[in-house]
Order: sequence, then C-alpha cells, then structure tokens
Amino acid sequence: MKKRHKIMLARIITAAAGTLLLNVLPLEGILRLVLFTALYLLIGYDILWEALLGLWNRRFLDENFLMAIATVGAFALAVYVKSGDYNEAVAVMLFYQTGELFQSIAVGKSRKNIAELMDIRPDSANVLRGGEVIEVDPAEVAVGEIIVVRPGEKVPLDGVVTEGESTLDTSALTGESVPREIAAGGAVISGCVNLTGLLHIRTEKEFGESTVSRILELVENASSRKSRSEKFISRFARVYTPAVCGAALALAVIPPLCGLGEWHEWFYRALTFLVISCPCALVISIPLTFFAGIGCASREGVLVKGSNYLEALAEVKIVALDKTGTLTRGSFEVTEIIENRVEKEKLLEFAAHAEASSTHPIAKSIVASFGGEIDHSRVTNLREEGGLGVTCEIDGVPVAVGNRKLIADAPEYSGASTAVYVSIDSEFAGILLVADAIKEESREAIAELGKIGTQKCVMLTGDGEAIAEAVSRSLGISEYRASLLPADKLGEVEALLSDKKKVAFVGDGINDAPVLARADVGIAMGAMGSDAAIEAADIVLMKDDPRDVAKAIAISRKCISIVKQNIIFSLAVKFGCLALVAAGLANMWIGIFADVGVMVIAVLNAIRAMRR
Amino acid sequence: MKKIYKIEVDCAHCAAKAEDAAKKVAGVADLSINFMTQKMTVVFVEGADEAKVLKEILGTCRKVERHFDIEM
Repeated sequence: MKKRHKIMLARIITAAAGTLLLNVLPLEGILRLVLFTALYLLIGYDILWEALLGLWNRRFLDENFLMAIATVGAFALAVYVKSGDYNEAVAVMLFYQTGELFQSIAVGKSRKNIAELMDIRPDSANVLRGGEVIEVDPAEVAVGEIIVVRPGEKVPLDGVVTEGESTLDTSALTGESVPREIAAGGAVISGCVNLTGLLHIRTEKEFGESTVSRILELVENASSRKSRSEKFISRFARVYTPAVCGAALALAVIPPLCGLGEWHEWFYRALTFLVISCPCALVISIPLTFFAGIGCASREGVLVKGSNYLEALAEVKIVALDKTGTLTRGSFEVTEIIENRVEKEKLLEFAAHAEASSTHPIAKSIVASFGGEIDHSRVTNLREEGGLGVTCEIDGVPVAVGNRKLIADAPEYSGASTAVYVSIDSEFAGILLVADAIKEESREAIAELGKIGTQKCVMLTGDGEAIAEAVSRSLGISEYRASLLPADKLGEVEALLSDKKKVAFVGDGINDAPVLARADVGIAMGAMGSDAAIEAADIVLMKDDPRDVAKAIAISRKCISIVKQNIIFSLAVKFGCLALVAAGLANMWIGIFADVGVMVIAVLNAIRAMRR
Repeated sequence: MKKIYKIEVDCAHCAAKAEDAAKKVAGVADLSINFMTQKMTVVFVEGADEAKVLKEILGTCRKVERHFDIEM
C-alpha cells in the first residue's frame, strides 16, 4: 500500500467508527448536525475540493462533482425535512471512498503483476573493455564486443557464447519453464536469464535491434490499439453520465410540477440518480480486463500487439496454417527405414558414411539421423554420380546411395516421402524415407482447435499434392491447398476471408509476411529473432509450438467473455436500480451499491482474466 | 526528440484521458501513455524547451487526474 492509500484507510476507519458512535449516542439538534458535518468533511473533503477544481477546470459531470452534489444534496435535504438522519450522506461518501481505495489497490497490484511478467528490460550490460569489466547502458555496447553475464543476470543483448557453460531461463520470453542448456558457440537471445554459470557473449546486434527491445516495443505499444469494446465504453461513458444527470434533473422538477408528490421526495430520487450515474465500473474494468488478458497471454509466450487483436482472435472461425515450419519442422529427417537383408542400424550407418561429405539437405538429414561418429577413414573411392547419388567403398565393401536409377535391382517406392535407395555389396539393401518431419505437437494442436470450436482448419503448402494429402490426413486437417507459390497463399487466404468469418493465418514468417498482414489475425510462430514476422504479425508465438494457437484463442475468449459479463452485469444493475429509484422503490443505499458495489465486483471479475 | 518517462497513474481510463489532454500541449509532437508499464513516451517538437514542455504536460495531466506524477 502506498502512503496515500494508508491515509485514506485511516480516514475510512475513523469515519466509520465515528458514524457508529454518533448513532448510539443520544445527540439532538445542532450538536448532532455539527458532529455529522465534521465526519462528512473528514471522509469527503478531497472529493469536495476535487469537485470545485473540476468546475474550475471545466470538467463538468466528473465523478467527484456528481458525488459532491449527491451527498451535499442529501445532507441539505436531511436538514430541510428536519429528519436528523445524516447517515446517508456520510455513508455514501464512505462507501464511495472505500470502493475507490479498493479499486486503486487492486488495479495497482494486478497492473504490477502484469508489468513484472513483462519486465525483461536489462538495466545494464557488463562489457569487457581493455581486460576490465565495465558496467554500461546496454545501448552503449557495440556489435562485436564481449559482454559478461553472471548467474542471475539478464542477457542484455543478442549474441553468441564465446566462453562458459550455463543454463538459461527463457520463460519471460517463451513461457517455456524448462531451462535451456547453452555452451560456447551457442546463440543467446537477450531477455533470457542466466541461471548457473558465467558466460562471455560476443554481441551480434545493437540493443535497439536486439530481441528484447523488439519485444518491449511491441508490448509497450499494445495499449495504443484499442478494442471495439474499449471504444464502445468510452463513447458510452460520454453519453451515459450526461443522460442520467439530465434524467435526474427532469425527475427533480417535472413530477412535482405535475403535482405527483412532494418536492423533497423527488429531489431525493434525483440525488440517487446522480450516485448511479458514474460509469466507473465500466471505464475501469474493461481496459483492465484487456490488460490482464494480454498479460496472461504473454506469460504463456503469446505476445498480443493490441486489445483489438485479442478481440479479433476470440472470434476466429477459420484457421489457415502454413505447413512448412509451422506444422512440420521445416527440415528433412529420416522418417522410416525399409530394410532388405541388413539391419536398419547398419543401413543408416553406411548411408550416413557415404553421404557424410555431401552438402545436399537430404544427405545432411541422413547424417543427422545417424547421429553417431563419422569415421572418414573407412570411406574410400568416393564418387559423386551427378544427379543420381554417390558411390564409394566402406570398409572395402562397395556401397551406393542415391535414387532408383543408381540401383538397378531396387523395387519401386511410391509414397509421399523422398526415397533414398541404398545398395551394399552391389545388392539392394534398403530404402531410407526422408521427409519434412511433422512436429509431434501438430496433431494435438489441430485436435484442440477443433475442440474449442474452430469451424475449419486449412493447410497451405507449396509442396505437391501427394505430400500435402499425406500430411493433412495424418494431422486430421479437413482441407488443404497444395502446390502454392508464396503469392498464391495470399489469394487462398483472401478467398477464405470472403466468407465474412474471421480468419487467422499461422505461419513462421518466412515468405509469408504479406499473408500474416492480410488475415484478420496474423499469427507468427517461433518468431524469436525473425524481425519480418514480428513486424507483420498481430500475435507472436514465442515458442515453436502449434498448440499455442488454440491456447491463445482460449485466453482471448476468456478475456472477451469477462468483458461481456462486466458490460452486461454493470448495465443491467445500473438501469435496474435507476428504474427502482425512479419508481420510489429504492433509496440511496441501493444507489451506492449500483455504483461502488458493481465497480468492485467488475474489477474482481476483470482480474480473473490474468489467470488461465 | 523522443523520450520515455516513468510515470505514476492510477487507472487506465485516467491514463487515456491524460494522454488526450497532454497531446495538445504546445511543444509536443506526439505523446503516448502506457498504463500497464507506467511509461510515457513524448516526442518533442524540434527545438522545444523540453523541461518547460514537460512541466506543462505534468500540469495538464494533473488537471485531469490529480494523482498523476512524472518521475524525473
């Protein structure tokens, strides 16, 4: 609690105790009035002062002004009708102040929580200059300098480890809680926290270009893009308060003029109207809900560029996904081995040795899948057979690895993967099937999208029909578009958009920046380091996990449903109470609930958006 | 000249109101207030007296929201 909050709390407690005491003591007449006035001033002097200042600054109808009029009016009325009941005026002020205090503390606390989640800005960098470690502003470190990062510190700039071994906590960036191992030669992204060992890092980017700056820029600008709900609320607030005040005036004047009752009775109802006329519940809770939703999403590694995108995401019905790099790993891998007379291990070992010196991506994938040590001395007589493959001798045994034309006795393979034929000792030994491996999470990701009510998932790919068909079948995707050039993807997404349903496009940001920008919601995946994607996308998934698409949609839906609950609840209670008050069925106590009570409930509800 | 200041503002709505008001201060080319991170980004008009403009911004914001504060 801030000092200001403590003072307010003390005032509230004193005033509350005082009110109780004055009600028990048998006080009469002028002394009672004086003591109650003192209590009223104790609890409400700042509101009265603000109201005057507001008038001076030409801010009519702000909440202080309304509260001041309502309570002073109630006080005056009690004096006029000689009821001696000054409780109402004091109580209204008391509850209003309590509500404001609570709201201020709760909002401040949750705001701080959200801000802490996003607090990845490094305050300083330790740079190695002339053999000495000096602490400087990260912005002053040049590309190519060596920075020292101790355990517990944030990595201030993107770079490559030159010395040391450690584990990195990337959770602030990705939401991934498992620490990542890092050693010399490994690339490090700024914003990670160094956990265990001392690291020397050669910087590769300036601070302004580093990941942490880009993310901060993105997050800090999020509030400038307002959602429709927020715009609606600020428009509504501009109309609501004057309208209710107008109604209050009419209520105070017209019925008694028509002879429908006493002046003071209608005046009292009008004052109650003023208490209800403050739209605080909405103007405070709605933006808070969006902040909380965006905060919750970023804790999960989902960066949302503005509340308007959170809103759009909640309405997404069609999800178009790029295949390569999004649903698949984007790199080749041996997915299956069909052996003939030799064991699989031996087949892979021989193929890897034969392909070891090739730079072809498929050859590299075979070597990577083998994973073992390559002993180049075993390979002799290596020859590249242009366009066919390689032949060589391994341990003196002739080996050929390549397409079917190279190995005459091989059976034909027909499927969606690329087949690499192997012969050992001049005889067909087996086939290695190489494909762009599907991510393990992809199937689940598609299933989850279906579960949360996405109407349709469409896979877009530049690959041929056979591969597209096989991949989409194994993932359970209902539709796919194959053989697309990068420009065709834009056309396909535009065709989907013409359905008037919200379309999200998920891509890895390579070649598809225009599509990311064109879709209702562009979602870039695994975008750490890819500037174009961060630029073009509306939502950035920090982790390379397609399941986060469904997670992001779920978070956005929860946030939007809280916003709707708050709008409907607040308005229903306010209008309900206005009607009751107008009919003379409710008093100022109900009015204060419609104002402060609703605000407290709405704020508590809004804070829920922070949790998943 | 663009500068970022740490600020103190209590509610999102007040932040938005303060932003609208402060944008109109003479010497301010652009201004944005981020409630969540409690930061204010001010783009000053070329050649403006920054200290003076900032004081003006603070005064304007305080008129809208009493508890507004800029850490300098």
